[in-house]
Amino acid sequence: MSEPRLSGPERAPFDRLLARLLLREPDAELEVLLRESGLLSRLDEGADQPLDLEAYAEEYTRLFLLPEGAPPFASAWLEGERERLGAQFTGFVHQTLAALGRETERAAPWGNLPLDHLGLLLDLSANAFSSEDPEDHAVGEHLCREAIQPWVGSFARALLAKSRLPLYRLVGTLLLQLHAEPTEEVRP
Amino acid sequence: MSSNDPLSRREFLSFAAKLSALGLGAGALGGCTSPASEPSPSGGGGASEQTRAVKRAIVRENAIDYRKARAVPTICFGCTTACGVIGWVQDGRVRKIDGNPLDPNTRGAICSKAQGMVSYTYYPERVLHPLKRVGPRGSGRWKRISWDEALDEVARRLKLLREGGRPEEFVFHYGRDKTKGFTKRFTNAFGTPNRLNRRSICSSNRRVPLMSFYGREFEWETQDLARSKFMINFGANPMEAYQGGLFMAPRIMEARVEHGAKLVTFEVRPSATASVSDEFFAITPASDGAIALAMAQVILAENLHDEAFWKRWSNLPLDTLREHLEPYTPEFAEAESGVPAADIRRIAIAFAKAAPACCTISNRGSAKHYNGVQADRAIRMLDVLVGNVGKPGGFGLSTLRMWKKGRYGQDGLPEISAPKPSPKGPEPWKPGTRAFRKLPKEVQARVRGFPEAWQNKYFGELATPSEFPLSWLYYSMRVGQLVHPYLKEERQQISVYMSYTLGAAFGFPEAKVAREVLKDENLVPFHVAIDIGYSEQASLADIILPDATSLERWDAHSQNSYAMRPYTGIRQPLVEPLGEARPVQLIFQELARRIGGGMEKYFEFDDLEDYYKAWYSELPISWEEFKARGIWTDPERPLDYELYEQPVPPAELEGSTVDEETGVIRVERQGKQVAVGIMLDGKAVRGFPTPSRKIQVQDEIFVQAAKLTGLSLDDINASPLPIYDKVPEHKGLADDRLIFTTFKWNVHTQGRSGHWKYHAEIVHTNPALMHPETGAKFGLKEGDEVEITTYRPKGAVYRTGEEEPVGSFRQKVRFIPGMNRRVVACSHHVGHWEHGVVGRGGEATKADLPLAHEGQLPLASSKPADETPSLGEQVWWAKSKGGPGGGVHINDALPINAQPLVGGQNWFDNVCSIRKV
Repeated sequence: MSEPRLSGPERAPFDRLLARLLLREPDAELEVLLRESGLLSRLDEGADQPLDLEAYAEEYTRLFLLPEGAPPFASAWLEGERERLGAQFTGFVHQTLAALGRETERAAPWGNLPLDHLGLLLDLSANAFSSEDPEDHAVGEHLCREAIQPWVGSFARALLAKSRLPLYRLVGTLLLQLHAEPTEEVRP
Repeated sequence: MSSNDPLSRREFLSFAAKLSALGLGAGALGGCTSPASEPSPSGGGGASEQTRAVKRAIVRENAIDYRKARAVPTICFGCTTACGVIGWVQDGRVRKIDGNPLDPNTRGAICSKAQGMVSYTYYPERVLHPLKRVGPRGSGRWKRISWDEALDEVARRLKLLREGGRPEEFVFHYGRDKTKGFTKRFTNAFGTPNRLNRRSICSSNRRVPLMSFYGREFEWETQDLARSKFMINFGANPMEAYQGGLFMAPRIMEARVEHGAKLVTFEVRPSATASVSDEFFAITPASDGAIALAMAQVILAENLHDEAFWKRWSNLPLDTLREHLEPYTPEFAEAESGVPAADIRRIAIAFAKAAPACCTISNRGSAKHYNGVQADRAIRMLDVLVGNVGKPGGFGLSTLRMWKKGRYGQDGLPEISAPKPSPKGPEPWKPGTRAFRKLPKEVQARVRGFPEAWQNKYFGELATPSEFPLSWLYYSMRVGQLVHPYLKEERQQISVYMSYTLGAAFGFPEAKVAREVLKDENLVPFHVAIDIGYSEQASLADIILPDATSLERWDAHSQNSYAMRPYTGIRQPLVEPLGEARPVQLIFQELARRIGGGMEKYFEFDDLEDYYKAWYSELPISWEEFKARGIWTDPERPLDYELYEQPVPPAELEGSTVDEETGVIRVERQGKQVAVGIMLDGKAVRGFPTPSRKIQVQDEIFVQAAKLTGLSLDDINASPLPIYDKVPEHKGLADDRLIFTTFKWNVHTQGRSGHWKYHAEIVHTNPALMHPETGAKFGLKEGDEVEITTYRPKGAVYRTGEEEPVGSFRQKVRFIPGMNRRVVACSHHVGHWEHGVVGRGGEATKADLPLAHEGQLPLASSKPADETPSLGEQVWWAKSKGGPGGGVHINDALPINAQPLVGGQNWFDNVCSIRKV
C-alpha cells in the first residue's frame, strides 16, 4: 500500500471498532453500526443479509477463546517467554494509563483480562488519540509502536487464514493496514 | 469487493467519519469499559507534568520492582506436595514465586512447578469464559455464554434430579480437589454419594497397606529422614516425583552429608533418586516384595530385630512370622529380582544395625502391581521388625488430615474445620432401599452378603464398587478408572456428570474408554466440566465453567510434617481471577442458591475470605497475622515421636472399659463404643488407631474381603500376611516380551502440565527408554522408531486374559545403561491433543491429523504446523522445526488393571511387544 497511513486520530474510530470486535461477539447493536457505516458492504457475502449472530458467536469463540484459533494476546505471538511478555505488557499498560492521567483508575477497565489483549491495547490507543493533547498522542504512538506493531501482523495474518466468516477476515485486513509494520504485506 | 481487499485511504477516512458520527470517535468503548475509564472533561488525559515527563520513558520492562511488589504467602498447587510459597505481585499480576521459609516441610525450598502456577494462570489459551457447545459433543464447536445462563442450566438439571428423588444420578468426578471438603459440602447437601475421584489411579495400593498396619489416620508415611542413618528405597523417587518429595529430598541429602546416612534404591530404571543413592539395583519389576521378605528373614535369622518392640506392638507372634518367612530366602529373592543374595543379606543387616534410625521408603514403584499391596505390606513390616516406628530417624507417622478434636495425634492442636452447619451425607444404599433395587442382581447379591458395618458404607457401584471393598472401607478412595466402564456396562444410570480438573479423557488407563463414554449422550446425558484449560476432558463437555487457578483462590491446607511437628497453612488469592474465571467454591455457592431446597443454608457466606477466616478461628494468632505468615505451627510442641506410647489422659478414661483379652480401652461417645487406647503393662497408652490398637501385620480384612467378593483365597491379595508371588502375566514371560512401565519427570505433574510452556521446554517428549542390550536384542539402534503393543493382564482384573492387544503407540528408542533389561519405559505427561499449541508440541490441530486406525488416536503428525504465522512459532521443539515434537499419548494403550479388593491401578505390570517400524 503506497498511500500514507492514517494518523492516530484518524485511526481512532477504527481502533474502537476493532477493539469492540475483539472483546465481544457481534450483537444487534454492532450490526446496526456496521450497516449504517457501510462497512458491511465490504464483506464478501450477504452484505444485504442480516448477520448470522449465532454463527458469529461460535466463530468468535473458536477464534479468540479457544486454543484452536487465534488468541488475541501478544504473549501468544511474540518470541520470548510468555510469562515475561505478559509481565512486560502489564507494566507497560499501567505506565501508559499513568501517562494518560488515568493512574487512579482500576487498571483493567475492560474486565479482568490480561493486559496484552489486543482489544484492550486498541481501546487504549483510541483513548490516547481521542485526546486533544498532543502529548497523549505521543503516548498513543509509543503504545502502538511498542505494544501492537511488533506482533499484530502475525495475529492478523493468522486471522485471515483461519476466519471462516467475512467480518473477522475484515478485522485481519484492517489490522494489517492500520497497525502492522509498514513493510508487511497487506494480503496473506 | 472482499473482506480481504485493502481499503484505500479515501475509504478509511470516509468510514472513520461515519463511525465517529455513530459514536465511536471519542470517549470510552461502549459496553466494554467501566465508567471510570471515560476521559476527563479536559479532553486529554489530564496528564500531570510529572506524567508527561515520564511518558516517553514507558518501556516494556521485565524487572520486578521489589519496592512496589507485594509478597503474598500461599500454598503451591503445582503438584500435590503443596509447598508453602510466596508470590510476588506487581501491577495486579503475579510475577514470580519464591519459597516460604516458614513452611516447616520445605524450609523455603520450591521446585520449578511452583513457577508453573504462573504459566497456567496466564497462558493465552486458558479458558476464561463459560462456554456452551453448539455442535455435537466433542466436535469442538462452542459459544460463550454468561455465568447466569450457564449456572441456570446446570442448576435446572440438578434441581430436577434432587426434587425427583434421584440425587444419585448426579456424579461429581474430580481430579485434584484441594478444597478440603468444600466440594463434599455441595455433594452432601445435594444428596449424592457419587463424589468420585482418581485416587485409585494414583496411590490406593500403597495407602491400604499403611492404613491396614497403622490405621486410617496414616494413609501416608512421614519418615524422619533428616535423622536417619540408613534408608532403603523401594521404587520411590522423592528426588523427582513424589507427594512430599520436596520435603524429603533435602532431608535425605542432609542425612547423607551430615552423618553419612546410606541410601539404597531398588528400581527398574536409573531414576533421579537411584542416581544419588549409595547403591542402586535395577530390579525385575514387581519383585520388591520378595526382596523385603527376604530381608525380614535375614534380620530375624541374625537376631537383629527389636523383639521387645515387636512383641509389644505387633499383632503377629514372632514364631508365626519366622515360620511364614522360611521360603523367602535371599536366594529366592535373587532369582525373582536379580539382586544378588549376598547383597540382600548385607543390606538387611546394615539396615537393622542402624535401627532405630533407619527407615524404608516406597510408593508407586513397589505398589502399582498386582502383587503391590502385599509388597508394600512386606516393606512396612521391615520397619516394625527393627522397631524404628515413630522413633528419631525412623519410620514416622504424621497425619495429613485437618485438625479436629479427638483425632489421633492431634491432642492440644486448635481445631480447624469448616464453618457450621455442615450437611449430613446421603444415606447408605442398604438392601431394600430404592437405589439398591436398581442395582444389577449380582451386585445386590454380593452386597447382601456384606456385614452390616460394610453395608452402612455402601453407596452404589460408582462410589463404592462392591468388588473392591478396600477402596472404600477405610475412606472413599473409589476406583476411578472403572467409572466409565461401569457406565458403559450400565451398572448405574446417571443424568448429570460434572468433572472438576479431571483428566480422564487423557490420563486414565485406556482413556479411549472414558472418551467413548463421555461422548455418548445416552450414557452421559449432560456433562459440565469445571476446568482451567481446554483439556481433553473439557472438550467432551456440554458446558465448560472456567475455574480460578491456585493463584486466584482460597483453600484451607494441611499436610503431613517431615519436621515431625504438625503445621497448617492457608492458600489465599494473590490476584483476582482472570477473565470471568471463578473459584469453584463460588460456583457451588451459586448453584446451591439456584437449586434451593435447603441447600443454600450451607453456603451462607458473603465473602470467601470470611468463610476461611471462620475455618481458622481457633488459631492462637490473628487472621491478619496468619495471612501474613501463610503458615502456623506451635514451635513448643513436642515432636511427633512415639505417639503410640502417650498416656491416655485420666479424663478420657472416665467411664471406659478394658477388653480383658485384647487390652483395648473403649469409651462411649455419641452412643458408640470408641477405642481410645490400650492397656499395656498396667498403663493406659494410646497405641495405634487400628481395631487392635496395635500394628496390624496380620490383617484378616484381606481374607474377609476376598470371601465376600468371590476372590479366590489362593490369590495373593487374599493373604492376611504379607506374601510374595509373581504378577500373573509375568509368569513364564516370553523371551520376546518386555514389561512396559511409566514414570514421572520432576518438571511435570501427571497430564496437567504439558501446556506449561516453561516446563514443556524442559521435557516435551517421551522416548521409549531401554537398556542398550535390550535394544541390541531387538536389533535396534538409538533413535529407531518402534511400535509398542500392550496386552491384557491376567489375574482377577478387568477383561482379564483377553487375547487381542489393548493398544499400541510408536516412539523412538533411547538407550539408558542402568535400565533393567526386561523393561521399556516412557513418561506419560505429554502427547496432548488439546490444551493449545504448547500442549500439542506445536503440531497441527487435531482436525488436520489422520486417524491411525479405527479406535486409535491420531498419531503425532509430521505434517508442518499451520503454515500461516502461527502460535507454533514459539514451540521450538515442534517437528515442523526439526525438533522431536510434543511426545506421544500412551495411555490408550495401557490396560485398565484394577488391583483386586483395593482397586488401585496396576500401572507397571504391562506386558508388551516391540517391533521396529
